[in-house]
Amino acid sequence: MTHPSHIRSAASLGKPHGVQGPELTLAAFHRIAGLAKREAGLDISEGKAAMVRTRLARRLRELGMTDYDSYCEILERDEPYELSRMISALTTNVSHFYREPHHFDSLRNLILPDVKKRIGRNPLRIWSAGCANGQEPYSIAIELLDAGLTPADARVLATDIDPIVIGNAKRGIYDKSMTGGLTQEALATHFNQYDTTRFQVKPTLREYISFKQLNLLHLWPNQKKFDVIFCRNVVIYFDKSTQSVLWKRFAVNLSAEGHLFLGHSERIDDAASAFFEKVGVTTYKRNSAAGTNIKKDL
Amino acid sequence: MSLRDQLRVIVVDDMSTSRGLITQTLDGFGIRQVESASDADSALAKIAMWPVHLVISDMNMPGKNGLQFLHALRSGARTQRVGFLLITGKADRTIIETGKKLGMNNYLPKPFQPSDLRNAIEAIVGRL
Repeated sequence: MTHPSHIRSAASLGKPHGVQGPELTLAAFHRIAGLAKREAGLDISEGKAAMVRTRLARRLRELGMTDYDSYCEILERDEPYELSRMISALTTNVSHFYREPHHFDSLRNLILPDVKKRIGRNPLRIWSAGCANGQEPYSIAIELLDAGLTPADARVLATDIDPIVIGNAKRGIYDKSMTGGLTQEALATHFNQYDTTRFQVKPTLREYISFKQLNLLHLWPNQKKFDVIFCRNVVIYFDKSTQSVLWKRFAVNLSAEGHLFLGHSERIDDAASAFFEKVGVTTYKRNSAAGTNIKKDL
Repeated sequence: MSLRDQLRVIVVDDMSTSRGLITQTLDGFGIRQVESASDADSALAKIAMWPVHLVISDMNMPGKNGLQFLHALRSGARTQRVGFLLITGKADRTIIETGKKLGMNNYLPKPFQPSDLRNAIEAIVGRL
């Protein structure tokens, strides 16, 4: 009996690359960085070559490849699938429920108490931009549910550039080890035991969320403004000019006095500061007085 | 989407025939998001997973009665503003006045016609 896995492991055993995988030449690094810039606006300096090598090593192993030049050739064939796998390998961080919990405290204590039941009116709209495997939008949905709001009262749009993680997010299955941010009560109320080690989100929680694949640098669906945008640890991967455009697009797409939550190392730039008021740690509020003509700048 | 499409209701009554009567009447109004429970505690557990806009509860039930159930709802952060319609066997003044103090939104004495139930609901949530 021959198993493909045996063949592959035998082949990789023949090349002692270790966990870091094959060597990443400077030329190959620039090919990859160029594609990442073109495809997703990622700004990867030479100083991050080691990070690129580590993160892509696993992908090369999965493909049974032993050098980066062959991998670049696949990417340069304009293979959208592999490009998106690469972008995802370069940008995906391990996320967890209630990451940077102060944002959820603000949502619970400052934003949701003002949301009356909205039946028959427009629901509160929250965008989880860069939702990865879904922990962020599900944490938001738990807060909505705990505030007594129904999906008719408040909704979450969850988007990510990577269609595979969107699929994972929709399924909402998490290993016990990934549920650390949840209280025992939240886990018991909103999740079912999926198998011996995993939990799955209940449909009653999932129905607050619409999951969509979306590249933040492309056109956004033309729709109503958001009351809250979570975009955390996403724009750090973008270069300054891309970030600058994004801040303004967020401003355009936020309702008056809407909130924007960013990751711990992210700040809006000076050009966008006219549209926002800083109201907490990496927490911004849309300044309703300014910037009615922002669209002209975009 | 109209209000009746969005409205979520839970019907709480220990008598299955009474529950059935109310849920069928709601269905006749075009209200499709309806759950039911046979006592206050199981209703509270359901609402924790499935928040509602309106609770329609009978007064006489084993365990918590309708007013005790109302008190529990008004004491919980996630349910304190939920609409509450009490179904009473007889329009007992003490029950109604206690209910009003506890934040009851409306009440409906038995027996009632579908149009009575509709009016009682619309007085709380607006036109269906």
